[in-house]
Amino acid sequence: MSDVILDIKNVYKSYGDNDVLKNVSFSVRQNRIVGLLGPNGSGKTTLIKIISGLLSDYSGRAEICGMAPCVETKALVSYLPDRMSLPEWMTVKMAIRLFADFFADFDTERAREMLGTLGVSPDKRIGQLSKGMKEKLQLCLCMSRRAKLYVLDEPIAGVDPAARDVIMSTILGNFGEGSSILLSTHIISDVEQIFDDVILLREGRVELMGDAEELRREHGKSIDQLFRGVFKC
Amino acid sequence: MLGKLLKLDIMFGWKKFAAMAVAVVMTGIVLPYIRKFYVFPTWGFFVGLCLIICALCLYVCCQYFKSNLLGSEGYLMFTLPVKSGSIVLSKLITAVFWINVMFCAAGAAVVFKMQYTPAELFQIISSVDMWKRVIFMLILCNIVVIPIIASVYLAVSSRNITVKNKLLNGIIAEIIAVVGSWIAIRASFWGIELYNDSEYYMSLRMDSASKHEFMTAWMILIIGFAISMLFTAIYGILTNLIIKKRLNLK
Repeated sequence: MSDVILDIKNVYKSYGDNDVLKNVSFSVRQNRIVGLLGPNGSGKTTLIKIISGLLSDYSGRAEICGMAPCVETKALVSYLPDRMSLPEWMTVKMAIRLFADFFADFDTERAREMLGTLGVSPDKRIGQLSKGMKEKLQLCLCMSRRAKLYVLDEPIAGVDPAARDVIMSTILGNFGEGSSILLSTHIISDVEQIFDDVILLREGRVELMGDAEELRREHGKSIDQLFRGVFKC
Repeated sequence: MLGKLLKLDIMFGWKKFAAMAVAVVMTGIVLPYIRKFYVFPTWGFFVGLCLIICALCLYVCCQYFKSNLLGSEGYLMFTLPVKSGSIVLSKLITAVFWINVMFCAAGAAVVFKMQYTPAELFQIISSVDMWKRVIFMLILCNIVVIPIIASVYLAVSSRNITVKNKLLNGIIAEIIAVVGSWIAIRASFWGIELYNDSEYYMSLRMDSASKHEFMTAWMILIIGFAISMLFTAIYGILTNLIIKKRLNLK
């Protein structure tokens, strides 16, 4: 059986006259943490939306465990959006119940433990939480699922360096056997050590991709330095 | 999954709609005590109240549809493992539910405004004829309101999903909403219009009409409701198709 969890082939997407993704192709295998790197506007979020089933108007092929994005793949993909998707009036407890209701792979106990560790009060309304706390809550909900593929869109953008460490350890600590992570970011220095593979996107095209360790060895640079070299203005 | 979606959709708006319903009932209670605003609770008063509530309710429902599905909350709704058709259906059922709650609140307001004594109230409540009138009125209101909701949902989704020519698409969406609602309502009311005298038709449904006339009036109403549901289904399917094939969350 193939160990490819995510297969992207010649994906093309435009918003009007603006081509956002131009024939993007790559695949993600089981048990890999893949960094989807690129500056703002390189097409990372668009690609993630396609994988998560939030964009249906594209050409090319995107397959999760051999299926195009659909109801079945949504049950396999745990998606962390780059914005707050939960309503402000909802309490943390209600959000946990909502995820438990809809996702068969959601582990309520795990979510409660994680929220306790991160200091998110279950009785508070989401509207009362700070930006950092909201991000932690969404991350807890996302990582409390036993999903095949975790798709994390900018999980460390907008949080302080101390919170970044907590977020990264939460991701690593809750990523289970047989799963993979696709993590998009443009803040590379803090997270590059966790990547098994990296994909560098530039203006909607794959500029560079491969095994992170091999790329470091081949170019004699860290991924962060490589990124800065590729995207130097 | 539809049940879970309905529960979630009702949770989304219950505070706002409950507040509106309470405000309507309170209007009925307070009005008789304000002499200068004293108006007999006529048929016109009831219809006027219903229209205002409908418009307000429809606006709030459409706002929820837009923010829940096509705004930030869409990132949650469309990543749930449910079909987009179930999401649209749930939104439609919830809107119909809240609008009917408002109709009932308006009915209660009229009862309060009439200032019946408990004995009179009991007599009214225990009258089969009164319940026939209530059901008749509710069906009649739903014939009008349900396709309007569906056509507005269709317009909102087609407007918000477009990327190019936003102004033109906005105008087209508004035309869809107005023309779609108009066609659905006219088609649903064709049977009633056959009478060429709506007052005569209204009198058939409950008063001293013969059994045959009474049955005809109800049959026409049910056919009208079925036509209205058919248009609602068409608009709902089109909304689902747009969302399914052209979803473009910003």
